[in-house]
Amino acid sequence: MSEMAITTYELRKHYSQLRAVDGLNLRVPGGSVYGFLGRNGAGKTSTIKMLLGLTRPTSGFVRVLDLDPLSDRVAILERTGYTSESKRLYDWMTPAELLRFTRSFYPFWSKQLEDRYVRRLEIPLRQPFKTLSLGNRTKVCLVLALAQRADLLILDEPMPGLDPAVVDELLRILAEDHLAEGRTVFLSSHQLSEVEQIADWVGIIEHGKLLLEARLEDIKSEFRLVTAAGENLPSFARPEVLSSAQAEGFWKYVVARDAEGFAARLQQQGAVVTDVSSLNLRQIFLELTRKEEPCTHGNGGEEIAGVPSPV
Amino acid sequence: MALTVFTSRMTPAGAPQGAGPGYARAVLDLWRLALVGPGSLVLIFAGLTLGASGVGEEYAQGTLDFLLTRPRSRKYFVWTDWLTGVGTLLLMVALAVALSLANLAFIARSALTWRLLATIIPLFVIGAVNYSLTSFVTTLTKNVSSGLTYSLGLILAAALLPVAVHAEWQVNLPSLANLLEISKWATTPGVHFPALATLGWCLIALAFPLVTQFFFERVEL
Repeated sequence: MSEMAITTYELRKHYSQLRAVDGLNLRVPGGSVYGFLGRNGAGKTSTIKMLLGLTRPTSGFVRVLDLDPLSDRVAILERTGYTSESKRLYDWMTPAELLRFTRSFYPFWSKQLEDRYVRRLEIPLRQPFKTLSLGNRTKVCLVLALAQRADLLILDEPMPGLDPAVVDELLRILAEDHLAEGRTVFLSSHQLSEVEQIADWVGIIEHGKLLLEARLEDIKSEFRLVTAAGENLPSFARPEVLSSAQAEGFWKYVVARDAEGFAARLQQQGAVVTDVSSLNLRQIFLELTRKEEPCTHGNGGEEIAGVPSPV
Repeated sequence: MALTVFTSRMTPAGAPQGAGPGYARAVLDLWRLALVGPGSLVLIFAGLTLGASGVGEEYAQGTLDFLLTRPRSRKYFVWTDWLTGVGTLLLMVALAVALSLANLAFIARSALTWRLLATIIPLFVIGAVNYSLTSFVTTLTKNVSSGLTYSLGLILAAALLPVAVHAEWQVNLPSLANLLEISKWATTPGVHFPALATLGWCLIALAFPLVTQFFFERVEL
């Protein structure tokens, strides 16, 4: 297997006039937890559907576990656990029946893990799925994906309805059982604080394009929000500037590296730099995605990831 | 069921004095009519119901993405589903015919009784064609009620069109209803078994899952 569990290059999915995914370059390192973040309608689920061969790309390149999702779909699915955003399963079945049904598809299914997760997540096994709460439905979907012992877990919004204790338990399961064994977790979520707890990498998508792909560690240690006041400041200065926005007389720049140098250059242009502060994931996300007419270009995965293009 | 109860009372001891081959023939005919009349209606209904509850139903339930992310080809799901439905229909027909044989062998002791077994063929083919059609239309429309409605419309049209064409132009179009005439073979010596027609309708029943597979393999979620 290559270093990358998932690679996309110039991936596009257009539905008539709608550009759901629009030139996405994604690189998910094997053995990592990759937080795939974006607002509603940003293109996350469309991307996931292309990764799983549920839908065909309009154009572009996709590789999952070094395989093509269209021609090697079954081989990918044998090694990939997936929970969908909808969390819809057969209503008339009980979790015990759903587990038995799903188990039959997977040669590497671990009954031991299944029992352990059922116990740890406190899943009611004998109740029909339709009568379960959203949280319990989510838990059932998670166990169906987790007990496969898959090389790759693709979890699309895996935490709706889960109480904090279960979220904590889930994160622990992912860390203990999956990351410890070198498996890859691709986590699409709006729960930024949870993603921040576990992710190694994050990718932020907006309007079908990747705005940012970076190590979380780099975000915490290098990324800065530079606030400056002044006349005629550039809306966009250099490649390391991920976004710039003007509000209430101040310019705010999200800078990926060398924030001090960037601030010094702004001062040379007559700006008064009022603040240089570190950013958490939530702040980065909001700075990059909230603008109607963004000056954001992000890094598109090129600058920070430092991995050559796949094609 | 009513017929079973009725004929179960017609034991040889209960047969009219001096009842001969005519009596056995009457019982056989009664069974034949029961099988091909209400029996075919039950199978049309069963075909519609089973056809609408297969892969197409996954759309309505929103479970198709769950199913299609299991490590099996889409072809596998289409054919497993189809074979399950066809197997169910076969079982239904086999039970009905077996019940008939069990009764008739005891009651009528007719040499023709075993031929009634052949009734399984047209009944099964009628059920299978309706089932395959409904399964295909439901998958195509991605909706259970649309699938049922359109299928019922098509079945009615397919039944009425040959009748109308024959009445107007005296042209014989192939009709699924013609298959029911095979039941005459079951009770009438000298009538030929309509093997070609049966084979033709079997191929039609098989063609629908093939088209469903072609469509389903290209479906995007």
